[in-house]
Amino acid sequence: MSEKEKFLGEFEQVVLLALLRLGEGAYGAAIRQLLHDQISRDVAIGALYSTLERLEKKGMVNSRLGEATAERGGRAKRYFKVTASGQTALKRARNAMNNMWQGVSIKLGAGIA
Amino acid sequence: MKSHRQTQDQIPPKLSCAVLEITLPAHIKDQVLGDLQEEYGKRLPDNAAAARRWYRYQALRTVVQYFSQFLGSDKLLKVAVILASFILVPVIFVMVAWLSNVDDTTERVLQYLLAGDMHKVAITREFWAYAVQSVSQQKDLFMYVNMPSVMWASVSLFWIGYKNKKQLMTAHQLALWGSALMLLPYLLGTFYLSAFAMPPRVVGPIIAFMLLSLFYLLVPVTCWVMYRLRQGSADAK
Repeated sequence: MSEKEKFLGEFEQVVLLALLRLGEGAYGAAIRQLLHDQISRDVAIGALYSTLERLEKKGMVNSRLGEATAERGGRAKRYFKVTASGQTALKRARNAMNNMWQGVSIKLGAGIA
Repeated sequence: MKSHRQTQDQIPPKLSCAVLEITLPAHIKDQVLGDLQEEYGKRLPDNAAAARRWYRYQALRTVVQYFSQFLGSDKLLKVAVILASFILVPVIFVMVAWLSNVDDTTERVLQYLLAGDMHKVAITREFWAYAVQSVSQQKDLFMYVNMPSVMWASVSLFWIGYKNKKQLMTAHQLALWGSALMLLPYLLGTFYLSAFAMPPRVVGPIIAFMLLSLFYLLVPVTCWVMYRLRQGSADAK
């Protein structure tokens, strides 16, 4: 893997974390809903799948087909799961951010908790 | 009993669905459509009109996403470089032959020549009428040799090679640099000739430089890009 491919983009990190939080129930609509509920991010489904495909190519995620349901017009879900490689990349990203935040303090404005 | 309207509402907007069916890659089509339909169904009881608007908006953003990806795709690049070579190489070949032999032409074509607008000349009937004759008559290949163009092409290929060695370029980057270096003499020539009125004996060498720089670079750049594309797909496997 090239140097560039080892680093995760911000959205890639967010998506991987969403997969970890959702566990076995991580599929497109659920991931989108979680991102909206947790970080108020309204993600286009196309952008989400694009990122998931990219992560799968990098070996950080794998997927499997699930069950079809009537509410989905008889179409199957695709479930995603973070691989060991993906978890390693996430830990690396978290450590990098923690290191960069060392000694940095940002004063919050009035009225912000 | 459900009303006809209620039953209709449960079906996502048909036009948006149709556009997604065409645009989405086959391997994710079902999943994306299924996810959208599932979420649409959850939004429907709150506000049917808002749910339809949401679906259309999601469809639009998804289409834009995948169309942008397609524009940057290797497949499109491959088609574009092959098509450019197949069209431009023979056109320039014929144009140089015609320019070397033309004694008389129409006023319109002459004005285009003096302004350096070779792209306009290439779509005139007069050019194609003369051109076929010129190619069948022409035997001297030295008209395709132009030293300034040879120097430009050599420097350009060296420059691309140097940049590629410093940091391996993608096929798209190679195509971009190649195109820029191919088109630069043409654009500068066109600008110069349209800005300054030059006599025909001066215009000729400038046009030769404009056309032959492009001609010399087309095939090597195309081959380089295709090689890089093949390398890229071999790496991906």
